[in-house]
Amino acid sequence: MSRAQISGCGVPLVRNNVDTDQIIPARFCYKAQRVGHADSLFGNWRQDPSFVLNDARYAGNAILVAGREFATGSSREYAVWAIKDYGFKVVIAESFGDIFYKNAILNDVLPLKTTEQGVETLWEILGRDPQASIHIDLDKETIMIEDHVLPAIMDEHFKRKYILNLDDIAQTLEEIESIKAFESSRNRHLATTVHRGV
Amino acid sequence: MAKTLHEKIWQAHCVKTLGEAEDLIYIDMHLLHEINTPQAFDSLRAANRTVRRPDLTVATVDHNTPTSSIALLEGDELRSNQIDLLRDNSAEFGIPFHMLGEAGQGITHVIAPEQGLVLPGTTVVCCDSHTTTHGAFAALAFGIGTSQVEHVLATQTLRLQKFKSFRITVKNSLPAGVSAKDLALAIIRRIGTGGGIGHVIEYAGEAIHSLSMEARMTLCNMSVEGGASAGIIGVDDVTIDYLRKVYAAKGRPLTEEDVEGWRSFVSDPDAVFDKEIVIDAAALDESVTWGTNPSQSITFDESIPAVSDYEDASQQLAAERAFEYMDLQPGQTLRDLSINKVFVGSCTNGRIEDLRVVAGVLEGHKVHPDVHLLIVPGSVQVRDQAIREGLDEIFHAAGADFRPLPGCSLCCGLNEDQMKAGQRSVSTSNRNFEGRQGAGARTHIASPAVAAASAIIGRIARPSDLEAWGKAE
Ligand code: SF4
Repeated sequence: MSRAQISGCGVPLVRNNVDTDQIIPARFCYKAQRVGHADSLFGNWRQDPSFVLNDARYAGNAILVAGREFATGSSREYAVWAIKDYGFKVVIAESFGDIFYKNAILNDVLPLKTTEQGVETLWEILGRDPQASIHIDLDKETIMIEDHVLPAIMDEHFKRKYILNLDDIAQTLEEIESIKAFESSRNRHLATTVHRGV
Repeated sequence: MAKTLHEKIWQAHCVKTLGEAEDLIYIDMHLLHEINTPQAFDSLRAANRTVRRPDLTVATVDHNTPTSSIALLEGDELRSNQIDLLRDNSAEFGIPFHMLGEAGQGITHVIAPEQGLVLPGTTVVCCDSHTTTHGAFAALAFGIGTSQVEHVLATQTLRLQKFKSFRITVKNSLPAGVSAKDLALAIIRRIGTGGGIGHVIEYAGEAIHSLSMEARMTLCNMSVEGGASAGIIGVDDVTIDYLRKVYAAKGRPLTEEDVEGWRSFVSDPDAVFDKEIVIDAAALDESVTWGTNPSQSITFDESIPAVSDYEDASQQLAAERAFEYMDLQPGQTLRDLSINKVFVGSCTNGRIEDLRVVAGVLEGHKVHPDVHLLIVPGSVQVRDQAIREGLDEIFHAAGADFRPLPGCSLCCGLNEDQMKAGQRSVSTSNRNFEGRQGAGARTHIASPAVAAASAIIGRIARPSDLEAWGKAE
């Protein structure tokens, strides 16, 4: 199966405007590594026993379903690292913060948009059946759950990037001659931080 | 074809078009801080790569650093480790690094403009969402994540998808006492926290051009609170005068050709924007947030809305959560709310102009006995200027806690300055999210003038309330 097809069970995070300060509060951002952040995910909310991540029926489910404007706010990549470390492979939401969206793809976590109706359908079904299985097909642009077929919205560009799991830096370094050419014609009066000693 | 300002900058920085959706964009200035960078350097080393342009990169510490004394770092392994890693990584790759308390140190978004690192028509990135601040200089400036930091370190470029354009024209002029912060809050209230997603917001109109550079930075800074990728303002005489002063202070040569080149960094008159709105500055008033996202603000003449005042179900849900978290009820007004803490600082309002406003309001008054007024300068330069102007004496006389070291401090609660659960603050920073200033802390975002007046009265208040309050005393 290609990376375009993903199946799993979901966790309904029935909230809108979940900013990155909620996903991982700043006081958990002291680890200087990309891994080891699973316990920090929703660090404040997890103190509440009724919070969905504390509900054993959803343990191990790999698709997080949130509402609109998921992960706006701070640029901290810790938010994606915590989501990934915890075991989520996909986040479905109505919309995402710009920086998080890119961070997610670069860390191989799939940020998938659907409609408001799509989110509500998922929330409703996952709420009553924690083991309901979700099938995502990026080629067909669908999210299937029970007998519902919901739109999976992803720009072609990001879809390709995700499916091929490309290494951005390696690709860009192949363009090094273009970068050098650009630099040689760059205005020499622009600001620098190290004195060039002209 | 007519172009918007950000399209001009984009085209001038396009190293190569990579397929249909992606362009390779050159980065003129890259700012680093201690929280979001160690992982980028580790990956860089692991892949045997190096920093392509240390001369277009600068590093400083700001997020986790103590603001009362450097001694607080002793025995604080986690914070010291982040600081040491950035210093060592900078040394290894030849990147200039500003250590805590040394000249040049401060919040990245405060120091870069001070040091003349942000110029019209350039691209600026930083591992911090408030990089939008630098759009005040007609620069295309936006926040990036750690993986993108690594990309810029290795290549001095980013692979980017084009942004959409959104022009907000602010006509007429702001009434006296109404600041850029109030304007920012009014805009976010109007467009919502997601209104700018995927867009560069260009601020235009007479009200914008009458703002100082500091005020423009405040406005562009909060573009991200409206969800925007960046905020930007075209070059005018105010921009040029500011840059002339920076160049003069640094003893750097500036030619009239440079200046004339800058003047081209405005949108063409017939450029077409993807989205446009017009706001009447004259109708605005001082605003303060009541809720837990920056779009939930009201003026002093309004009361906190009821859930039923919102038409949209998601806004209703957000309002309900906010009432509970903030311990508020619909119908209350700002003046009903007693506070324990006032924070003046951050990349939004931690500049010299902001400290002057606060000193102006505080002069001749005392901070309310129930309130701790914390004033943290945005940079060493701001602190030194405040001391030269004698603002520190006014702060001390009023009983404020004016910190000797600059940093983000209570904006993000990563250093020793955190609030306790249930405490209520008025803050000049930018985010009133749940837990932002400490778990359970309640944040009201406001302008420096409102923050200062609130510190004196002990309730949310504005400077014009001081007269009546003084008589009642
Ligand atoms: S002052 Fe606040 S918003 Fe600004 S860079 Fe620091 S933590 Fe971020």
